[in-house]
Amino acid sequence: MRRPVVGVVQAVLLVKNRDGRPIKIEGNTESPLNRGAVCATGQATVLGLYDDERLKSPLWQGQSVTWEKIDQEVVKTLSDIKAQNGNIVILTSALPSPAAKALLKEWIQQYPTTEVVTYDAISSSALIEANRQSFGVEGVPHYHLEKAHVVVGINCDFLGTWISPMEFAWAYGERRNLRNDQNKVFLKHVQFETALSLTGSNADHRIPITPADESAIVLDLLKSVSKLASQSIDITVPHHGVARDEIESLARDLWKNRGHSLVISGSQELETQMAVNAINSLLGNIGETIDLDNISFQKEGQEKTLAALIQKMKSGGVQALILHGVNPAYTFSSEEFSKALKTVKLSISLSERLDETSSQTTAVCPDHYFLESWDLLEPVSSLLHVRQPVIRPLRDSRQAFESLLKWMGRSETYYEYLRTYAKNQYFGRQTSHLTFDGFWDRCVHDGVFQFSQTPSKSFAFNASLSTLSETVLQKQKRLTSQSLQLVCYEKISVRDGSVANNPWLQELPDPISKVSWDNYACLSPALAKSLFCEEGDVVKISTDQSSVVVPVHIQPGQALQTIGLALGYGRRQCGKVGEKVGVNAYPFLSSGNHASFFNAVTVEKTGDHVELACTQLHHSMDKAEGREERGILKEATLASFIKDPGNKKKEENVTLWEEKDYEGHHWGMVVDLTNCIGCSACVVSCQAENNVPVVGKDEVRRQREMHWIRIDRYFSGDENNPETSFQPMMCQHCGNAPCETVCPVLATVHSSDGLNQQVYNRCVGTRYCANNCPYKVRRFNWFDYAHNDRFDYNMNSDLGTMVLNPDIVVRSRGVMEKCSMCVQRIQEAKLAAKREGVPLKDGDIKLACEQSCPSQAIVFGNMNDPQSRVAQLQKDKRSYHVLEELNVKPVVSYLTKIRDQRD
Amino acid sequence: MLRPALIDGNVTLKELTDDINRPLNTKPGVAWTIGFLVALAALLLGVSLVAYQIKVGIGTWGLNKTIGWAFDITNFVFWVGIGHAGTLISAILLLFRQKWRTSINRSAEAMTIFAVMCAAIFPLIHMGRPWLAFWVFPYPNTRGSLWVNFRSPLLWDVFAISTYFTVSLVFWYIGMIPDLATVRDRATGKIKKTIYGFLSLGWDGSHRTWSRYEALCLILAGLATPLVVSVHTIVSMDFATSVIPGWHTTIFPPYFVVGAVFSGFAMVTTLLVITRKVMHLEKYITIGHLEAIAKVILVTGSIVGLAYMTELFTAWYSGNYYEQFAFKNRIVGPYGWTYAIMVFCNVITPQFLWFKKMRTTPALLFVLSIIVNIGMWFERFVIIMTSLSRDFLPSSWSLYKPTFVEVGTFIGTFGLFFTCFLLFVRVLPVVAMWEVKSLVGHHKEEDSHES
Repeated sequence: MRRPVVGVVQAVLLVKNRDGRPIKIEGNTESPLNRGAVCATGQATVLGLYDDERLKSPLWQGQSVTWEKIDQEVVKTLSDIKAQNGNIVILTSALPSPAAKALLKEWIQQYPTTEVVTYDAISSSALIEANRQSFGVEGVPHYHLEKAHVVVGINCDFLGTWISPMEFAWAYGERRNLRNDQNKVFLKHVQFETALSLTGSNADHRIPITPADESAIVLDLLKSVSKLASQSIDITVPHHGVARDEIESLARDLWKNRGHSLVISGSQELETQMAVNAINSLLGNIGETIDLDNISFQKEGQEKTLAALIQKMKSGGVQALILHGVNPAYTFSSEEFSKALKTVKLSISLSERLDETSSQTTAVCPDHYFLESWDLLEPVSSLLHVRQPVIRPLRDSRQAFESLLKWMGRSETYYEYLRTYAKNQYFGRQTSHLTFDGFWDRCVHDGVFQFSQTPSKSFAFNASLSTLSETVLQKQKRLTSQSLQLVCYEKISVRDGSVANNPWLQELPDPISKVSWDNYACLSPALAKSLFCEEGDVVKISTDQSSVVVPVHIQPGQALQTIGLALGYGRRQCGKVGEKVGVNAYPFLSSGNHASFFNAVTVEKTGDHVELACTQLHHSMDKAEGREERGILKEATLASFIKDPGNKKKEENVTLWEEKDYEGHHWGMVVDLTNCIGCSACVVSCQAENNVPVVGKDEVRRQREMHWIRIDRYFSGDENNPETSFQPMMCQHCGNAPCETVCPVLATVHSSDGLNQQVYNRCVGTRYCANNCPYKVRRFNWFDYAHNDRFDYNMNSDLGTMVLNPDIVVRSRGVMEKCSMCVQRIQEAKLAAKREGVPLKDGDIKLACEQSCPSQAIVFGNMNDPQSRVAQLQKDKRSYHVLEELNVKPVVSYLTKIRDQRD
Repeated sequence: MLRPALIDGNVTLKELTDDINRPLNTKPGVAWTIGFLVALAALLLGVSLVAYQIKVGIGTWGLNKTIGWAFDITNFVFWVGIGHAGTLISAILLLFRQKWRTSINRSAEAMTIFAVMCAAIFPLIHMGRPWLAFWVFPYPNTRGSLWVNFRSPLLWDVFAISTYFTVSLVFWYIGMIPDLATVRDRATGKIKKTIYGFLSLGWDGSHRTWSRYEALCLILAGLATPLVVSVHTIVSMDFATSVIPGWHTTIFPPYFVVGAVFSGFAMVTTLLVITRKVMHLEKYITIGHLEAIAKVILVTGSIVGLAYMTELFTAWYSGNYYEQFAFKNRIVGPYGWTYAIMVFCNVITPQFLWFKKMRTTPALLFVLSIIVNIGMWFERFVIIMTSLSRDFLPSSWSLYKPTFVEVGTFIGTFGLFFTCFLLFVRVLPVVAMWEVKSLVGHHKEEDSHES
């Protein structure tokens, strides 16, 4: 088995190859960005490789042609345009590849009339601009959450979607990990936000705010901090929804931890970002938790550039347009873009598939999938990620920049170009390798190379605090509104929508709403009541520019008088899976000039009602559900935990029977609820590892999703700002398993190392085991999910089934399945140890869920080994079993969730 | 207290033989024909839906990840329960020498056989892979030493149901032999004569035959008696031995047995009220019979009511949160209406039988018996479905709605039941002639020391 290393922007990946095909993506622990973890979207990219919709060959005017033919046509037209001094535009998404950027510079030498326009549908442009104005550094800083003691997020989903979520999730988990050292400072997290995000759901203190109040709150915080810093600004902060003393106590907390605090905002308002910079500057965080010397290139694009380009195209100012990594007909406006495109003589899309944009262009020159290509990436300055192909191209595609090289008349391949670039730009910056070949081999082998960084230092804040406050105030006055406000957000699954054709991601339930296969209008319970809306009622949401018709989801925690709507849905052309799923929210962004939110939104009921595909029907875990009595979720405040770190001494359950004796291994697991952030990476990882089928929207509506691990999400307390708790739930491999006694044919049995094993071949499908499972983790194959036209997802085509793990069977209809604790991984590690003649070490076996977890919430190991992490952690005073009183003796222990809250 | 006459009027033995044999030798009436066609249509609907479900998958039902059993096992328990009355009437009442049973035991036993057939369909088709259903039998096989799980109540079910069916069938058939001989002797056509001749096993009516025959009947009754209790006890263990709150209850065995007798007698009432009317058997299946059945319904119905209250008391007294929640959820949860139907039909309705007028008016009894049958179906639905729908982890709580396929399959079993029953009344003597004959003419002096 080969596990080559592939660098991407967010991570360095280990790609598990079997029989020459990549089947599973995991993280390389060497990368400081992802440290071995891979998020849900990243996990699912391996399936994207086998997407049937990827183009089989280049297209010229819709006809399949050879590369020679298309190169001929393109070069001829480009030369004509060049000869006539016509304008060429390369519209590209942000390029984290320095080599690609260099290549574009060379292109301009070849075609001097070329303009490169960088466009990202969702960007951090306000942040970048604010940094330029505040500190003279144009870019996204490299945030060091792992150095922070207090973090304040303001509409910033840094654990889910913002800039570098895996890196932040690691740091978050590290700073809030009470397992190793209970005396270290526990990261306190305060979140101000409109829609309940993954990040907000983890915060110790979450304050729902309307987006219109956002800048006032930031200003108020700035005022309080500046007072503590003895640089008082004299300003009257307009009224906002947050209590004065909350802001002041937060400011005191920040001030106490100056240099170890971090305030971050996802706002797209320049003034707000400036104010946030001012706060961080006053707190002395620049150079500590915020590194401006080694900036991040993970977000670079602008979204406002496109409108100007469209205008230019309409006026006939563009003769040739080359599109790379963008889909303006979806993320901007289809009609506008089509109209503008008509004036363009030659349009080339480098998209891998026919999408809303590439279906309209003269030529489509399909790019390689990232797993088929070479690249050099610099996600953070001085950190090099190297990408290598892990499979020969499956289609007659060509890497986008190789196409550009061809059209520049260059004969070298992009790989050769990269090597030359690395030799000239990077080889000299290191001292550990004497030859370039040695350096290059090391880079390709590890996928990552860390050059020595500039030590980060503090930057002076350029603007005057009082002028800044005035500007924020002016802006705020314009924003203040009594009407409904709409915010658009990214979901952790389909993100910006470019991966919408991925069935794993479409079926992944959103960790907050638990809804899959759709976007929806999130309304707070109070707002829904006042609008007489119920879950699933279809409403029309309009601003003066744009409108959508979308079902309502009642979302506890959504700020009152606001509506949340996810981007990335409503694709019209992307493939059989993603089309007609949800509605497109981008028109709000593009027509609203890319504001963070939209005022004066109206909502009217259409009278229709649809059922959302929600995997969890009951959301609350409170008094009514017997939270105390059930004892499923255990939580404590940090103060009470420090005072009394343990649950009371557990009573030993008495049994009439002889206890089972496990010789050798006895596998067990610990899930730390304090560390679990609910990101759902484990769900997709498990799906990929264990060939878990996708069942589609209708079947999810019927409560039949097949995921072997799920993240139970419970709300408690005030429904307008609830406490959120996540609990990963998978087969508990009970020692006294209720499922085992009831199966008439012995299709589920206990192994000698304590696993509860499901024997698919023997199962006749009475479902008695599932009924008798107190954790309800067993999943039944209601239909044949493979090679069945009713389930036309990845398991219904020869290409799609290439992703299947050959170590695992594809289950037939009528049998039960469930988490096996990745028994194939246990077996593989055992065999490897045996081959080497050494005993199996703790940590040799990593289950798929454990492997992907960015916050290290899951630990697996041998409970019989007293030194193993699992055995140690199960002795932890926070450790408990879910439904312990049933005496089913689960091997999965949970560690009480700790929140830094007042008692 | 004197019992009223068990047979109305003064019928001679010949009249009796003529009356019971009449349907076998005449053309069917309009009512029978219509009934048969309706039943056959329902049966065909059921057969086609089961075929569709086996072809496509259990997914055509409304079940989900939380609720693995609903209509299927509810119907199973419902039909097994109905099957209880026949054996109870013919075996236990025989042992207790309750002569009034003689007019109704044949049809009640037939009902048992058909109901158990309907019941047996569900464990078979509810399997994900019904074509491998034979794996639940412990037979020597070539798959290593692959055996069944003797700890599983489902396996006990297999044994209990198959034993019950076999014994009931044998008992029914043996009990019919003298009458089959009578039919044989009166049959006109050659085919009829051959078939009934074969089925009557060369019955010659000699004293020795009769003596051995009656001894055999008593032995079979003795064998069948424990089965009356065991079958539903074991069915109840499917639930009682599980961990699911609402299922995990020690009261279930007696509770289920009484419920089964209750529903079985209700079904007997339903069938007999129609049969005696349509087949003109009022003389043999008298109001007195109906009243006796009604009294059994009243007693068992009251016990069922007591069981419901005991269950609630136990839940409260146990102090077990899950147990308490399960019962609270039954009453006020999303399926509270099914609980209300159950209580109304099974606890309140039978109490009307305290009135003699109710017990002796066939039309009222008919309506009441239907209500009880509906109630008992809902009892099983409440136990099975509501307990599953909300158990331990609120994250898994779910809802259930039957699909067309499930409802149609249930209707199909009614089709099977009535098709069989309607054929039965046309081709077999519906009243045990030889037994009833023992009452004709000389019942008066016997009655005085029987009650």
